[in-house]
Amino acid sequence: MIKKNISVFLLFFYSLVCLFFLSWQANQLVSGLRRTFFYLLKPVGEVPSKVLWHAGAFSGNLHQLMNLDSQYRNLQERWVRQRLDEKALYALRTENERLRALLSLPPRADTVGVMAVVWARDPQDWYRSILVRLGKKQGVAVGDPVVALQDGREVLVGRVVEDLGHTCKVLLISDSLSAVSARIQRTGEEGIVEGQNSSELMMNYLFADSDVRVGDDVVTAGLGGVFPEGILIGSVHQPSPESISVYRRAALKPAVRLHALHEVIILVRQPRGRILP
Amino acid sequence: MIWWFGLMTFTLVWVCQMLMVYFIPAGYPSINLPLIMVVYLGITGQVGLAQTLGFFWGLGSDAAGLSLFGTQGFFLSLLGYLVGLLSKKIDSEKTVSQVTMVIGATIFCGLGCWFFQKVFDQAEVLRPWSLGVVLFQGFFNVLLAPLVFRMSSFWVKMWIQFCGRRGFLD
Repeated sequence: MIKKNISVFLLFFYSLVCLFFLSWQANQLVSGLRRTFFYLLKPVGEVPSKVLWHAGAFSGNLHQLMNLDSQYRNLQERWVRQRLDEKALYALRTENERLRALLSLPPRADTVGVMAVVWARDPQDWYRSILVRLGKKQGVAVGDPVVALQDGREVLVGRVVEDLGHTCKVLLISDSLSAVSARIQRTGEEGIVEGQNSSELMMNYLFADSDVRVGDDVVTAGLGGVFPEGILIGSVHQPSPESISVYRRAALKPAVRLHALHEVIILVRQPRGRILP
Repeated sequence: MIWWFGLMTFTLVWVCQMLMVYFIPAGYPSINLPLIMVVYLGITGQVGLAQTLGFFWGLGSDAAGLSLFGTQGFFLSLLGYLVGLLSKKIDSEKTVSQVTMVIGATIFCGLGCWFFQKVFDQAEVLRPWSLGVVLFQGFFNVLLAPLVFRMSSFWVKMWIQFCGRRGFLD
């Protein structure tokens, strides 16, 4: 009975409340209650919806993340490849510059410059000899002078001492067995430039009253018929004091960078009446 | 404990209803879960609870929707009472009875809301009302009603086990 009465009471109460709301829709109290109800219940439905939305977006985000990871790996690979390409490009560019400079050398009457790539050095001593990829098959002969290009000018490297077919050995001017007749360009005084098995050369047999000075350029004298005249050997680095003996000496700094030789030019002698390509 | 049960049921049904609305595109008739729950509570003899929850669910629906504030609150609480009255005359365990009650309740509430809109809405241009929408909603409600009834039974049993005594709803 009580239960039934409660139901009737609740029906009466709720109906009354609802009818009040319906009758006074524009009333501030009713509209305020409506807004309050809305804001109270909004999060209850909104939060699960957002959770569901995020859960739904999770697989998409994961897929996107995996795609990004794959793209990142591809880009990294491309970046590494590009770095290698850049280095290769730089090497090619510098090589191209060197070769272009070689092409611009003035022609000689009795020799033809043939370019050769340095591919090995003396394993015992870098200042003694090098191996170049050019030999008898290409017309190279023992004794042919070898030069390089330094700042647009020919500089002496050494001479061919051994022919190995497609390869030949070049004795560097810094080797102690090397001796080149030379001349101080400024004064015209002559002497012999000998190797020291080091990064320095020594010009011997200068007269005691020689006017050799620091910075003087020393070139080949062309005597002996091995090296053509006028090829730069180096510059005077330290002349010996005057009147110490019959001859003066002068330490030279070689013009050629022996530690950075990539290509050289072998001055192949041109036989009389024969024109080399 | 009845208060906790009421509060939890209210929240759970409201969340489910919101999620259902979230999944159904706007403009389509959705399942009225609070209505089915009111019918369930009324049919199982929980008339007071059905009225109270129906009242608050209705007000929530009115506040969140476009219907006049109080319309659904009134009809859901009235529905709880009427179903409570009828519960003694029908076999509430039979699916046919449940389905009949749900479809009847949907049409009753739909027509009631339409009538209240005619009477209380002061707007010059009234929102169009379609019997088709009510019938569609009734159809969907009927489809879902047996499932909701089963889940509600499980929900009540769970609470009974949790409370350790049978008459916690009394």
